[in-house]
Amino acid sequence: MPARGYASTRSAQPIPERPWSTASCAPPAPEAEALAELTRGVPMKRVDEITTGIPYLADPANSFMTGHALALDGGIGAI
Amino acid sequence: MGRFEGAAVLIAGATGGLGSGAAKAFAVEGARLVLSDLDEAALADFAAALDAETALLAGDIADEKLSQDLVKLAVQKFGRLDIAVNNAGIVHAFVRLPQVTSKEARRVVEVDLLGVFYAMSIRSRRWSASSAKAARAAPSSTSPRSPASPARRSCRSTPPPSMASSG
Repeated sequence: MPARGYASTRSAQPIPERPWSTASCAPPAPEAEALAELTRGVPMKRVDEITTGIPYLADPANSFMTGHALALDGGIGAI
Repeated sequence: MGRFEGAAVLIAGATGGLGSGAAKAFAVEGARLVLSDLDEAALADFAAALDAETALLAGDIADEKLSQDLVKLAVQKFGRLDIAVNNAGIVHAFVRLPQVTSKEARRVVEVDLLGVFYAMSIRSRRWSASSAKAARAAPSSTSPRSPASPARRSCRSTPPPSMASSG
């Protein structure tokens, strides 16, 4: 697990219920609404290109990099 | 010619968002895939849509035996296992701590922590044994790796809580 710090931003505030909560009995939110919730607090305002990091880590041309926590977060960690 | 031509890549949690994205990315670059997830039917449907050789085994990553069987399947079907993506993961309900049940918390630890431990422990044993053989066959550590023999890599994708879903 990578070390992770939290700042008191809007996205770090406690929120009682989210559209994708697995324990919720509420029907799932429409995709657009869920996406808006997901990207709230993401500077780039999108959730994208997250899987590109996986083949990058596994690339034979990248074999010297090991045990590294790679942030693919649309800028969350940079603010 | 893709970066992963001929490589055997194991992906757990293969039908989820990250898992399916990883499977497609490796497939495009020529990999052969060993795929696993909880739901057998969803796994079969997903694999059928991929343009890659696949071997499938549904199961629970919190069960140590699944990881053993996945390595066996890779060796049986492709004769090798080069890369593994420990992607199977769950998050507890995004609620205040007192509302998270102990049962749910335990399940998260079993899947997200022990699931990775079982998988990596089992593979490490196999990779250590086959590396010893490979070292005897090719003693020079400076030999360039051929595209068909990528470095053995194991990666863990851990979505931040705000972006995660099961699988």
